[in-house]
Amino acid sequence: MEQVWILPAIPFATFLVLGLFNRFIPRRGDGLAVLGMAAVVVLVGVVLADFQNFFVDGIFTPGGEHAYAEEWVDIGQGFFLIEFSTYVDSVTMVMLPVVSFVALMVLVYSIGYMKGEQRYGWYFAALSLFVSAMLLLVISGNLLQLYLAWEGVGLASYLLIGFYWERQAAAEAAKKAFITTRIGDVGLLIGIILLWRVTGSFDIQEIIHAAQEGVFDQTYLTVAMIFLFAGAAGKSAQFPFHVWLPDAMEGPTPVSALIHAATMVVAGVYLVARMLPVYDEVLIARDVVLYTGLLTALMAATMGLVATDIKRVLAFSTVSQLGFMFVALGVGALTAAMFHLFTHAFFKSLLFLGSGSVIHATDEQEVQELGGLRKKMPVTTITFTIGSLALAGLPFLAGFWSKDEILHDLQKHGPMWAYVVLAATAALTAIYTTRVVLLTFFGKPKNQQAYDRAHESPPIMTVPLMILAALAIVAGFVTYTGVGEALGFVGGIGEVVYLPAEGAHRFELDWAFAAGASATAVAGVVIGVAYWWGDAKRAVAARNWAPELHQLFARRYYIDELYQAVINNVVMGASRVVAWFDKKVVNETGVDGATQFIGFLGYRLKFLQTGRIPNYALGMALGVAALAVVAIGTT
Amino acid sequence: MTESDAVLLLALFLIPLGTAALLMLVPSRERSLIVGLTAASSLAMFVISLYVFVAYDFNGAQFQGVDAWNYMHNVGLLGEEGIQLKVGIDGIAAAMVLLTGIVILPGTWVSWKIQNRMKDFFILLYILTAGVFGTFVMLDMFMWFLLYETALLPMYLLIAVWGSTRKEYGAMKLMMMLLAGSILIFTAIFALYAEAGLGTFDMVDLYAFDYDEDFQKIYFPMVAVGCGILAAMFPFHSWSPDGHASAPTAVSMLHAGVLMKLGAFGIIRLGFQMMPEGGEFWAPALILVGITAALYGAISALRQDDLKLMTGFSSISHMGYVMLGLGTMNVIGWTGAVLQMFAHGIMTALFFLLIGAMYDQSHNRDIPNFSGMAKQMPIWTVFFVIAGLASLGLPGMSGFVAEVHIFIGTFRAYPVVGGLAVLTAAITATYLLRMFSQVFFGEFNPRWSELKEITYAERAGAAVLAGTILLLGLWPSPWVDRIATTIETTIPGVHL
Amino acid sequence: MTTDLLGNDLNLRYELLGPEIAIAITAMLVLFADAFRKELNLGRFALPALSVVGLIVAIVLSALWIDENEDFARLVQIDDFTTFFRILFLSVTLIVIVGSHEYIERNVSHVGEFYSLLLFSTAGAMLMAGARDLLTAYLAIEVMSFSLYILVSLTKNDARSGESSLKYVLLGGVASAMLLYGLSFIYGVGGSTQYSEITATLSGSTADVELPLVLGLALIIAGLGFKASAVPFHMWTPDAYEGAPIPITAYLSATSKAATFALLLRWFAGPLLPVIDEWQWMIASLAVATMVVGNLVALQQTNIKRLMAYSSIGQVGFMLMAITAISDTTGSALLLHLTGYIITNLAVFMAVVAFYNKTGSEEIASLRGLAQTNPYLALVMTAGLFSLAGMPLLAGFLTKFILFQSVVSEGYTWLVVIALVSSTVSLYYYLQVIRYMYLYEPEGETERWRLTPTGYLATGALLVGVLWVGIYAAPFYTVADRAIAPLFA
Repeated sequence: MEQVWILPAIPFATFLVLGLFNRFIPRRGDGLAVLGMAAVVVLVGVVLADFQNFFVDGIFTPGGEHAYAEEWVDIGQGFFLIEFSTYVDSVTMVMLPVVSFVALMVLVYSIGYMKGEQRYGWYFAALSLFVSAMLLLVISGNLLQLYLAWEGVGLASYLLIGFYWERQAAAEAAKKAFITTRIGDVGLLIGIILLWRVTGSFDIQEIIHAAQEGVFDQTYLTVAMIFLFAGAAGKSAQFPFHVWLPDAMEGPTPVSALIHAATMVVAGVYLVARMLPVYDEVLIARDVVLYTGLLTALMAATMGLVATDIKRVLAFSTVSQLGFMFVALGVGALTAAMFHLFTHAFFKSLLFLGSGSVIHATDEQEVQELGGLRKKMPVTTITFTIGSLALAGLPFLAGFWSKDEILHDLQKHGPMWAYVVLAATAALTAIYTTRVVLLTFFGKPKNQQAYDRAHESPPIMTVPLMILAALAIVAGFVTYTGVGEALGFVGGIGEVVYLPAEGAHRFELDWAFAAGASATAVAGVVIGVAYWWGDAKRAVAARNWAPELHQLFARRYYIDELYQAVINNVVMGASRVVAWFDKKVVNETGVDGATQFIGFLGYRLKFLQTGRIPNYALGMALGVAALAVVAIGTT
Repeated sequence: MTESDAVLLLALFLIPLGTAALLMLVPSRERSLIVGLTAASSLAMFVISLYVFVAYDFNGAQFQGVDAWNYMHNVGLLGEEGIQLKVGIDGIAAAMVLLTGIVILPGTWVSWKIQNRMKDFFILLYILTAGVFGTFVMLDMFMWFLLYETALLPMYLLIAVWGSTRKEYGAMKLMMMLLAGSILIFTAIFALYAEAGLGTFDMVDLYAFDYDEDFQKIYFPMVAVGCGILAAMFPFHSWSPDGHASAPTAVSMLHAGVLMKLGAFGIIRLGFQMMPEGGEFWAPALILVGITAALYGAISALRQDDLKLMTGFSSISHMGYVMLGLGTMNVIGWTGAVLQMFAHGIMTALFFLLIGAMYDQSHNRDIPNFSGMAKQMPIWTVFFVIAGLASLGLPGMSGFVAEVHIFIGTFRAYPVVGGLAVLTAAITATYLLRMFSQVFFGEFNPRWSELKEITYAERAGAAVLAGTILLLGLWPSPWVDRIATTIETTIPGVHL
Repeated sequence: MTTDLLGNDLNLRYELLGPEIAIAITAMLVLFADAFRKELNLGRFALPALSVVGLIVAIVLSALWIDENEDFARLVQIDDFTTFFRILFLSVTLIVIVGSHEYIERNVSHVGEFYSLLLFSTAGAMLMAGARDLLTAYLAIEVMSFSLYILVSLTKNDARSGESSLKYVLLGGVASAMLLYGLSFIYGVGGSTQYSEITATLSGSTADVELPLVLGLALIIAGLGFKASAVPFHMWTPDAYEGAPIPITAYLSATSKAATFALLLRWFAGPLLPVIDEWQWMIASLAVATMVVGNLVALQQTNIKRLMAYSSIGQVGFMLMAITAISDTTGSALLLHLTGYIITNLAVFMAVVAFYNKTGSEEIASLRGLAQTNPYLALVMTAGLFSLAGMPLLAGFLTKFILFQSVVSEGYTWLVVIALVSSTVSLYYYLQVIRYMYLYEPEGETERWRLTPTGYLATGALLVGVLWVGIYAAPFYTVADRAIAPLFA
C-alpha cells in the first residue's frame, strides 16, 4: 500500500517513452501502452488484496493514511508545507479498478479503432498521460497534489479532444472544454486556498478533522465548499458548466468512452465524495450539490431525448447520470453515489465503444442516417442493447441496482418533489436510450451507402465490448453481501464504502420500492418502443405537436448561445475598451503626449534666437534686471 | 559559499565585459571566431551562475561570497569607504543570477544567425549582460546603479538597428521612459546616501542605518516607481509591448526575461531592504497596482493580434503578479514574487525565442494569418505549447509554483484580491488557448508551406528553457529554500 | 626682495609666470616664422609643430609649481588651483592643434595669426585662473576674449564667420562693460582690488551697502554669464559656434568656459563668499534657466555645431549648480566634472573636425551611415555623445553623478531634480545624432575611409580619456580635490 505511487508512475513512464520515441518502437508502441496498463490492473489487484487489511473485524479503519509522503515545498518549517502524499481508502478502492480496468479495455479497443491513424503513437502516449494523471488524482492525499493531477487530466483531455486538430471543430471543442473546466478550477483553487487559510494544511484528512472539530466559521466553510464544488461541477460537466461535454465528442470515440464517460468526468463526483464529511458539516453547500445535480440530470435527459448524434445522446446521458451521482452525494449517500459511479463506468464506456464500433463501420454518427444495423453487426447490436438496458435501469442489470439505491436514499433523506423529478428523469433515461437503440439498430436503413459500408468490427474491438457487456450485467450484484464476500471483501459495497459517520449498512432489497423503480424503467422502455418503433410516426407527431419545446431541447435551452453572446459582447467588449484606453490614453496621450509637449517647448523657445544683435543686447539687459530683482527679492 | 567565491561573482560581469572588449578587436568578417568566443563566454557565465546558485548555502549568512575592492574614497564628499567594488549575493540574487545565466545561453545561440553586423550586436548584447549580472551581484549602491544603467545603455541601438516593425519609435520610447525612471532612482540614491551620512555607498551598512520614517515614506515610492518602470509596472508599462515587439529575438529574450526583473529586484534591494517602514506603508499601493496590472494586461492581451504584442501584454500581467506578491508583505507572497520573476523570465525567453524563430522566416506575426502550424512545425509547436501552459499556470510547470505562492500569499493578506488574481489565471488561459487553436490547429494555411522547422541551435535553446520550466515546476524546493529563507530572515517587515 | 611705492614687499620671481611667458614667446615666434615662411621655406607642419613644442614646454613649466603656493606681486596666485587650470588649458590647446591642423591648413585664413592668437588667448585663460586681483582678472579676460573675437572670424570663405564674429565682438563689448561696471561697484564696496582684502571687508557688516553690492554682483554675474554663455546671456553662442572654425568652436566650448568657471570659483569661493546670501539665488535661477533652455532648444537643431552649442549651454547650467551650492566638495566635484566635460566635448569636436576634413559638411543628416564608412569615428562620436548624456562607463556618468551628489549633500535636491530631468531630455537629441550614424545606410560612396595619423592620435587619446574617467576616475578626483584645496584653505 505504501508503494501505491507506482500506479501512476507506470503509465507516466509509458507517456514519456511513447511521447518522445514512439517512431522508433515497433507498432508505435501501442503494445507497450497496453502492457503497462495490464501491469497496472494487476497491481491494482494487489492493492485490493492489501486493502483487506484495513478491516479490523469488519470495521473499516484506514491505516497508514499517508501511505507515502515526500516534502515538496516547505516554508517556515512546516508553516507552509506542500507534500507529495498518497491516501487510500474505500472511495479510492472504487476508483482504482474502474479507472485501470476501463483504461485497459479502451486501449485494447483503440488498437483496432485507431488503426492507420497518423499520430497513432501520440494517441497512446496522450492516453497514458491521462491514465497516469487520473490515477494520481484518486490516490492524492492532499488537495494541492489533487489539483495538480486535476489539471493534468484536463490537459490530457484537451490534447485528446483536439486529437484531430486539423478539424477546426475539434480545435474549438478542445479549447471550449479546457476554458470551461478552467473557470471551474478557479473555484476549486480558491476553495483549496480558503481551506488552507484556516487549517494551515492541504492534507485532506486534516481538513476533514478540522471541519468536524468546528474550527471553521459556518458561512466561511459554506463559501469555501461551494467554491470547491464549482471545480467539481466544471470537471463533471454539471450545470452551468455542462456545455463543454457534448462538444468534447469531437475527440476519438474511445477517448470519449474513457475520459468523458467512465473516468475524468467522475473526478468531480470523486472530489465531492472525498470531501463529503465536510459537506455534511455545511448542509447549505450540500444542498447546492443536490439541486445542481437534480437540475442537470433533468435538463441533460431532455436534451438527450432530441439529440440526433449518437455520441451526443450518450454525452447528454453521461451528464445526466453524473447528475444522479451528485444528487446522491447531495443527500449524503456516499455508497449510492460511488456504486452508481462504479456501474455507470462499465455500461457507459460499453455504450461509447459500441457507438464507436458503429461509427467505425459506417463513418456515420447521425441516427437519422443509421438504422437496421442489427443484421450487419450482431455483436455490437447485442452488447449496445445490453448497455442501454443497464442504463435504462431495467431490473437486475447493473444500472438498476445503483439507480435504485440513489432513488431510495433520495426518497429517504431528500424532499419528496426532488424524488419525483429524479424518478421522472429515470423514466426519460429509459426513453431516450430505447430511442437511440431503435433508431440505430432497428427499423429500416435510412442511408443506403452507410448501410452498405457497415460491417462487424474486428475481434480486437468486439472482445472488449463483450467483456464490458458482461460487467454491465453483473456489476450491480456487488451490492450483495454474499457477492462481496465471494470477491474477498468483508461484504457488499455498502459494507465497504461508507462514511465513518453513518457506518456500514448491509443491503436489503426493498421489493416494493424496487418494483416501482423497475416499473418506471419498463414504462420508459415501452414508451420508447411505442414512439420510435419502425419509422417513428408518433415521435414525429409529438415533435410537430410542440415544436417550440423540441427546439428548446434541441438548442440545449439556448445556454451555449447565451455564453457565446456573453463572451463576444461582455468579455471581448471589455478587452476592446481596455486596449483602446491603453493605446489612446496611456500611450498616445500620456507618453507620446509628454514628449511632444517637450519638443513643442523647444520649438517655441527656438524663436528667441532671432539672430539680431539688438534683441540679444536687450535680452542681456533684461537678464541683468531680472538678476537684480531676484537678488533683492531674496534678501 | 566562501569568500573566495567573490571572485566568481566578479567574473560574472567581467567575463561579458571582457568578451565585448575582445570582440571589438576581432575583425567582423571572422564569424566563426566570434561564434566561438561568444559560445565559450556564454557557457562560462552559465556554469558560474549555476555554481553560484548551488553553492549558496541558505542556512548560512544573508550575503555570501562577499568581498570588496576599493574604487574611490576619501576625496571630496566620499568618506573613508567611499565607493567600493563590493560583491555578494543573497538567496534572491542567487536565483536571479541563475536566471540570467540560463537565458544568456540560448540568447547567444539564436543570435548566431544574425547576418547584419553580428559582431556589433554581440558587443552590445554582452555589455547589457554585464550590466545585468553586475546589478544582481553588486552590494555598493553606486556600482549597483552604474551597472543598472549599463544594462539600459545598449538597448537603444540593439532595438533600433537590429529590430523590426516600428523599431525607432519603440527603441526611443523605451530608452526615454527607462531613463525617466532612472531619474527617480538617481534622486533616491543621492538622498539615501546624504541622509545616512555614513560616507559610504555600501548597501549592507546602509541597511543597518535606520532612516527616518517620513523620509522613507517619501523616497520609497520614488524607488518603487523608478524601478517599477523597468518592471513594466502599471501605468508605466507602455514602453514594454512596443519595445518587445520591435526588439530582435535575443534582446526580447534578455529584456523581458531578465531586464524587467532588474526593476523588481531594485524595488527589493533599494526599496524594501533600505526603507522597510516605507515599504510597509506603501505595500497596499503595490497590491492595487499589481492586481490592476494583472487584470489589465490579461484583458488587453485578449485583443492583440501580434504574437509579440500579446506576449508583451501577458508580461505586464505576469509582472503584475510580482508586484502583488511584494505587496502582500508575507513570506509566501514574497517567495511567490521572486519565483515568478524567475519563472516568468524563463517562460518569456522561450516565448520570444520561438516567435523570433518563426518570424525570421515568415516576417509575419499576426495571429489571424496562421493556422494549422502544428503540421508544418511540430517541434516548434510543442515547445510553444509548453511555454503557453507554463504561462497559464498549469501545475507541474514553473508558472504554477510561482503563482500558487502569490495567490496564497495574497489570500492571507487580501482574500478578495486573491480571488481576482486567481481569476486572472483563467483569462490568461483564454487568450493563450485562443492563440493556440488559431495558430497551431485547424486547416493548415498553405501560404506557410515554405517555413522550415526551427534550427538545431533554436531547438537546443528551447530545450534548455523548457527543461528549466519543468524542473522548477516539478521540483521547486531548491529555489524555494534559498528564496524563502532569505526573505524570512533578512527582509524587515515581511513575516510568515 | 623689492618693495612697492607704499613700501610693501613685492615678490617678483618671474619664473612664477614661466608658462605664460613661454606661451607668449611661442606666439611671437609663430608670427615671426609665418612672416618669413618663404625665406625659411618652412613646411606646412612648421607652425603647429612650433606651437606644440611651446605648449609642451609650458606644461612642463607649470608642472614645476605643483604643491607650491606663492603670489606674484600680489597680482597672480600660483597654487594648485592655478596649476590645475594651466595644465588643463595648455593640454586643450595642444589637442586642438594636433587634432585639427589639417583643417586649419585648409579652412582658415591667416594661419600664422590663428596659431599665435590661440596661444595668446590660452595665456589669458591661464591668468584668469591665477589672478588674485580684480584688475588683473579683468585684463586676463580681455586678453582671452579679444584673441577669440578675431579667431572666430577666421573661417575662410564663409559669410557666417564674419557676421558671427561681429555679433560676438559687439555683445562681448557690452558684457565687458557690464563686468567692469560691476567690478567698480565691488571695488567701491570692498575698498580694494585685492581678493584677500575684499574678503576681509565683506566679512564685516554690509547692511549699509546693500544696493551697490547687489547691483555689482548682478553686473558681474551678467558679464561672466556671457563668457560662460548662461541663459539669457547665451544668445551669441550658437551663432559664434556655427560661424567659427571648428577648432575654435571646440576651444570656445572648452577653455573659455573653463576659464570663466575658474574665475567664478576664485571670486565666489573667495572675496564674494561672505555675501553668499546676496548672489546665491541669482546663480541658482541662472542655472535653472540655463539648463532648461539649453537642453530644450537643442532638441530643434540640425547643425552639429549649433547642437553642441546648446548642449554646452545645458552643461553650463549643471556647473552653475555647483557655484550655487559652493563648498569644497562641490568645488572639487565641479573641477572633476569640468575635466570630464572638456575631454568629452573635445572628443566630439575632434571627431567632427575629422569628419569635416573628409566630407566638408557639418549637418547632422550628413552623418548617415558613418558607422559603416568609418566605424571608429562613429564609435568616438557615440562615446562622446553618450558621455555628455551621462551614460555609464563613460566620463559623463561618473562626473555628473559626483557633481549632482555633492550638490544634493549641500541640500539642493530640487535643483538636482531639474538637472536630472533636463539631462534626460538631452539624451533625446544626442540619440538623434547617433541614429543617423547607426540606423541608416550611407549615401553616396560607401567605401571605408581613414583618418590622418594626427587625427587618430587626438581622437584616440580623447576616447581613452573618456573611458578612463568613466571607469576609474579616482586619480582625476584626487587631483581635483587637491586643486580646490587652496581656495578653502
